[in-house]
Amino acid sequence: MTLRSAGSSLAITATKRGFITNTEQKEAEDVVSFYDDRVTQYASQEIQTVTLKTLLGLGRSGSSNHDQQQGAARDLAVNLDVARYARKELPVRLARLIKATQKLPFIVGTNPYIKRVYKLYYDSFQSITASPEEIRDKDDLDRFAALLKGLVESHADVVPMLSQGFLECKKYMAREDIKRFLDDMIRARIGIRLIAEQAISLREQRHEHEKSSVDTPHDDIVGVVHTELRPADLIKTCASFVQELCDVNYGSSPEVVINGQTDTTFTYVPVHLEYILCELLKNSVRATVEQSQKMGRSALNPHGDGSDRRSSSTNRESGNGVVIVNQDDDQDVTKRPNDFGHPPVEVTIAQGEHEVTIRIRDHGGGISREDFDAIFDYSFTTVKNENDSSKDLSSNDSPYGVDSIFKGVSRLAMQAGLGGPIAGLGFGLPLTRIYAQYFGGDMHLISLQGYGCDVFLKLKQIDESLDDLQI
Amino acid sequence: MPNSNLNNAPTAITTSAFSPQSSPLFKMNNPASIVKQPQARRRYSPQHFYQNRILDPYVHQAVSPITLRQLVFFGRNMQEDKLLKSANYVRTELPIRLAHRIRDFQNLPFIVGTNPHIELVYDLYWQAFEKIVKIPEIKTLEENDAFCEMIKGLLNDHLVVIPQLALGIMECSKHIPAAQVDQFMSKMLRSRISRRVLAEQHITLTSNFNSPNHMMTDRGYIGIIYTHIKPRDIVERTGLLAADTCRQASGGMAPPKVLLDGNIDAEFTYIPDHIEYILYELLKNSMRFVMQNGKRDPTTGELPPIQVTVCEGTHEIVFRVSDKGGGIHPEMESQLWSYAQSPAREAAMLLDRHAPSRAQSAQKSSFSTTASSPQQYKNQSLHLGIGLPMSRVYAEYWGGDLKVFTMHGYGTDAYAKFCKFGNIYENFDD
Repeated sequence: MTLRSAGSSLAITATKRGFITNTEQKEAEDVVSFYDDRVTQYASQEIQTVTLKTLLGLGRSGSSNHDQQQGAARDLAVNLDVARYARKELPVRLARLIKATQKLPFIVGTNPYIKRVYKLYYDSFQSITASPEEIRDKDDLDRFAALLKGLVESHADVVPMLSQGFLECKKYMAREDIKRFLDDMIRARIGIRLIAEQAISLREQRHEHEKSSVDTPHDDIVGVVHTELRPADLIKTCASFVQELCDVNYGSSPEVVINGQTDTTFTYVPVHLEYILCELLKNSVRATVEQSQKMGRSALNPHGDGSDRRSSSTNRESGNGVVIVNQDDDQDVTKRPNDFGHPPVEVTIAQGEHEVTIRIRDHGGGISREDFDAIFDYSFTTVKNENDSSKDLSSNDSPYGVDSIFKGVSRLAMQAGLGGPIAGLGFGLPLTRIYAQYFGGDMHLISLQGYGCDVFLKLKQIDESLDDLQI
Repeated sequence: MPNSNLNNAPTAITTSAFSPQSSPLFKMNNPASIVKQPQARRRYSPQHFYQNRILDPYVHQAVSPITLRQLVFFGRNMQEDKLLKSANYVRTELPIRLAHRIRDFQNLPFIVGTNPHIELVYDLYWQAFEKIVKIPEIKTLEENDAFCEMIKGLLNDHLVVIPQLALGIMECSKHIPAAQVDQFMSKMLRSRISRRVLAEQHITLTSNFNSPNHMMTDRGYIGIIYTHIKPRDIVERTGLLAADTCRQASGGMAPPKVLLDGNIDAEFTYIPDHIEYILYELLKNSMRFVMQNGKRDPTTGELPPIQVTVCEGTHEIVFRVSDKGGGIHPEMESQLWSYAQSPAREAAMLLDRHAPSRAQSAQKSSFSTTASSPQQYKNQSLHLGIGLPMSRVYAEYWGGDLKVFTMHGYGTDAYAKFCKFGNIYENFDD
């Protein structure tokens, strides 16, 4: 049947990509039967949204220092609540997701990547519904948490897979339909992961508490939420990761300058922020380096070739007393080029009453008009995909130049590492925006064509004001 | 030759035929002191209802929008026949554009139309329409001169339109939903800009043609358009103006400095007045926020400077105005682009310790013809509160835009974008 032939072609492409192994190939062939009713059953149930308050166990008083017994009992209670909710709710949400995937055009469903994702979700659905419905005590909890953990790990690559799959299916579905499907799916996925991860990490934290004889107060971390998250620290971490990746690919990288209200702390989900920061910094850093190449900026020539439009005399201060013209970049730490001639990426932190704003500015040349409308599309990328047959990827420059023997190597390097490749799969921006908006925040990108980009990231503090936010 | 010209600071003011105080910057601060009293009860007479017929053919005609480039090419090498052509284009185009807006007025809820400020503007428009429609085809330079004089008079009389409209619409905001208010005002303002561009361009072309000034065209001054606008000059000029305003409004406190960088010497073609209006608004806002915020550098004691960056792309030029004024309060943020009055805006205006009380300014602004001090009007224009939405209308006029992003607790960034090539058609609804 079609499944067999799909399977054999899958084998060929699989070895080429090194992405899907042979054993997984067999699994992919065992697609769910048409006659399995349970998915429909569950999918037709109402989603029970949980308020953020309940999910994150906020509202429980923080200090269990003096009364470890009471604190532990309370922890367990919260833990059980969340786990029970997860056991009930996850199958419903998974079923809906599966159902949505079943509605995709048949040809799209036969794409190996999409099929693999579908299988993953279906198997997870099976596993969870097969586990005992009642979670009575600590042991049940431990078992269930372990199950969830395994599932979460197996789903780690879902987004890259989906992205690749839909990239290949571009010609079979309208752009808006792909976008809508992926937006919904990713939002659902975030919710599912949040619930699952919360159950898992609450359990693990409690476990840690019990094991340690010393009462270590971890009140600032509640499951996946960190109540004293310091963006400046996270930015530093993401920046060095991104810079390293950039060094591997391009040989150099710009500095990342952090300023503003750097002591800001707020309550948020660190993994979300980490993902967002990595994506945005990756874009900025890559753009800066490529722009330097374009403009001939280098260690010996920090301002680039004639294409740079600055006035000829640097260090020129003039003006009329109110307005001061200052073209001397070396004085300004947010503009001073580093040893490689790259101007820095500037990250500014601001603390508002209910939210934190992070602004990222780069000198990467901005985004051209033609590209700008498409940057929030899935599968839009300015990195040439060697396997892509379609010509409508608008790309003016490839960072790799003509076929080089290092092409394959650097491609692998790009795809390795936490958080995915430095560029090329085209889902970074839309995904980032969905994450940003998830707890009521937002993300705006302004392109200053010929100069650089500014990104404004607004994140709402996860506090009582968000208590009623439904997940 | 070009260099010496720059030292004379080529302001749009000196190129236009008007007195120095005629750029939009000053217009809002010093509206005509004599306000025409509307003919009493005229609007409600049956005569007016039936007379309205003359509007119909114009309402049904389509407008002919133009691009900046077309104006430039047309305005070069001015000759008599071209000038007359321009005159007749203005003569026929203005009534059409006016008629469309008059019809919008007529479509407002009746109660809104009885507001004295709205009524005033409606009458001004109606009278202008009647006047222009009566003019026959312009065939000689003398007729053109008379035409220009008349138009000049109208432009002058209509200086009060914006404050009157703004006040009227604010007073009526309980009768119409905010979204509708915003739509109405946007339409009005867009059309107004378009009519004034047409009129002022023609008047300036005429005066340049008549006087030895027609040599100015060689230097890049084509009517009210200038083909060698340098961002540096505009920012320096508007920065000074904004600083003056803020210094006076605050009773002598020194405003923050403005640091300028980027492509400050990039040259492009545009109407300097428009850019100045926008930059003045943005710089004034930034300065105000910084001064109100009050935070100073611990070592120097200075207010944090405002950073203006000029970014030149292939198609566009962007002015980024960035301040550390603490950001825009969330309540005000939602009303940033609105023309309607709202409790949030009122509260925000009250927060402003430099604002005159609303009652006071409202009284002064209505029909009273007693001369109020320029100071009063200056403060009033500071706090009509529509500087931003108006700036956006200017920015969007030829395909640009204006965006404002705030970082609560830190500061605000504004981005004013203009198209470089002038090949975008006028943006005004019709």
